[in-house]
Amino acid sequence: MSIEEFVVQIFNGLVIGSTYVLLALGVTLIYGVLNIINFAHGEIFMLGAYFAFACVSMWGFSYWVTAILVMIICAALYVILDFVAFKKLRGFELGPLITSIGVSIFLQNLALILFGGDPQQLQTSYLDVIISYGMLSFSLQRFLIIPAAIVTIVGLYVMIEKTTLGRAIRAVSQDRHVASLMGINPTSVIMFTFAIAGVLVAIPSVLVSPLFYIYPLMGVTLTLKAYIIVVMGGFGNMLGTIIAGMILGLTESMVAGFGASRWIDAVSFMVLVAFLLVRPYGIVGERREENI
Amino acid sequence: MTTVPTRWRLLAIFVLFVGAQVFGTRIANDYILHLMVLTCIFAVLVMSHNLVTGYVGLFHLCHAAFFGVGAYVSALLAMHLGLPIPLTFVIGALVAGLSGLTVGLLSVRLGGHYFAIVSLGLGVIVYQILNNWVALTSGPMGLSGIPLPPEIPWFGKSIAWTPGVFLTAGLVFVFITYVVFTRIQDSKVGIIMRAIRENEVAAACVGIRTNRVKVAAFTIASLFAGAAGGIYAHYTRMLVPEQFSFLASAELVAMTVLGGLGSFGGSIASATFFTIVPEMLRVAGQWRLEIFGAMLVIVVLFFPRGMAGLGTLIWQGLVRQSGRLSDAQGVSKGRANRGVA
Repeated sequence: MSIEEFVVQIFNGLVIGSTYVLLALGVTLIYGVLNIINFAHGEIFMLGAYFAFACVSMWGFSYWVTAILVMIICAALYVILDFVAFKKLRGFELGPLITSIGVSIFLQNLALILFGGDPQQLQTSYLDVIISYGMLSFSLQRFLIIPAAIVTIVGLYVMIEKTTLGRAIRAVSQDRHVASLMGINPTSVIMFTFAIAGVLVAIPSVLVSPLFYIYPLMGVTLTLKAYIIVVMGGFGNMLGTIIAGMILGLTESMVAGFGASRWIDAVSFMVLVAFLLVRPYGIVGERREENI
Repeated sequence: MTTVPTRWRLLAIFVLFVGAQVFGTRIANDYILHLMVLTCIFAVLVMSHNLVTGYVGLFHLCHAAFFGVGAYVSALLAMHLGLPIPLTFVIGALVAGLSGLTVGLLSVRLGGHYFAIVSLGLGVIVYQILNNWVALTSGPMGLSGIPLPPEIPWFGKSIAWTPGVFLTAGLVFVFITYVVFTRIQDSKVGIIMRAIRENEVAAACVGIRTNRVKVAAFTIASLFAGAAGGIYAHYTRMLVPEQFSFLASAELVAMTVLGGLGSFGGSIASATFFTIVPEMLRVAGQWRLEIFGAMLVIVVLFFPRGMAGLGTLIWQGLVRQSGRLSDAQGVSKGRANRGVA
């Protein structure tokens, strides 16, 4: 690999890594509050991407209006998903996992019927704006996700650490019953958590889907990647999630750089397995008996 | 809780299987017969998945991968090395069992959710190997022209492997699996498994080596899945990686849950239901998988004990009818009515 290719792959790794971090933050937020695994995360991404495609290509909305609409739609979808599939199963750990597999099969096939199996591409004007910097040359669309991820992560951090809602979310994730004794309404806090997860998944859905094709099964791989990252980062741990997401993004772009892109999924899971053998409690997590 | 006594279950299943054999070979047409053979294979898969997920409570998301390992190993050995098929079948099952043992040793010490994700990942790795190692597995094209098993000599005649013979073999296989698994369930190991499922820390505190039992259950389940794969390979005579993908594993999870976690009879019932009913509901056409996904959600939300729960309810009704409720309560097994937990 020449030095140019190496720099290009580092850049691609940052793009992929930012996408994964945003996807995984939504997952880890929900896990932190409810201790559930949700396999329908990628399907929310897929529906958001289709909605963005409909807004831009069919109804002619501008890209930024579309972005706001997709955030609202994804947040609403997540709240609905919680209401349908998880609400009745509070306190169970594996029940929600099974219902989320059911929901994800349902949504994939619904999308297949509604939108057809042909891949669609979201066209934006930023795809044509080419930025050249030294030996790097890329479209603005490809770059957008990196600042978006930084802004989102900072925003999420401020929200979780400094605002009343964030304090309530942390309280509920520590102990739902005690939190409700302190005058916090866990039902609405959980609803807000799902809405935030929806917004977090909407951002990469709008920004990254123009770079790839949109198709009904696109969510499956993304869910898998989000969970690799969440496990590597230590469930419910934000800092670990960010580091793990970047590691995975860079690993994948390097694997692709060596011409082995067919094996990306297998390699990323091997990284995970190897990682768990060494640090089964996540990158920055504390060693806890319940994990290992 | 009143449940059906084990010997009655065995008798009922035996009668049912003899009936199925007679129906399949004498009355049913080729198509129904084909579905019945597939049902047998899926019944074994769902039961072995249930041993890990329903009994030990490990959430196992790559069972189809072990099914695939058994199928591909047996098929490749028979095709490329020309080994006799009973031997390839045994090797396939053993290789699947060994991979189960390895995977188990690596991952079983991880707790619930971690195990789920790691098993998911191992499934993806196996799928990518089947799909990408084109020189060995022909990749997405799949294997075709897998040989049939040799004819069986039988009192001077020789019996060729027609679908009817496969059905008989399949039913025997399901019956053996059922007997082995119910023996495990009623043995001390079975009680230990349930103890681990209900509360692992408490189980460890009374001196149970929980990881050993978990690895053992995982290995046994993989062995049976590999054996089912061997039969599947030589019955359908063609294999495609898609059959062993994550979706296939997810369907097995669905079948296990719908049958009832921890109930092997329920597993057989749901394997039958999910192989035959969708085929009969051809009218549903492209909505088939929607119905599947929606049913999964509805069952977990409203009938967490699945088909087995329904069976138990009917049995309790019968017992109450015959006025034996008071005696039956005395022999209650005290199985916890916790459903998906």
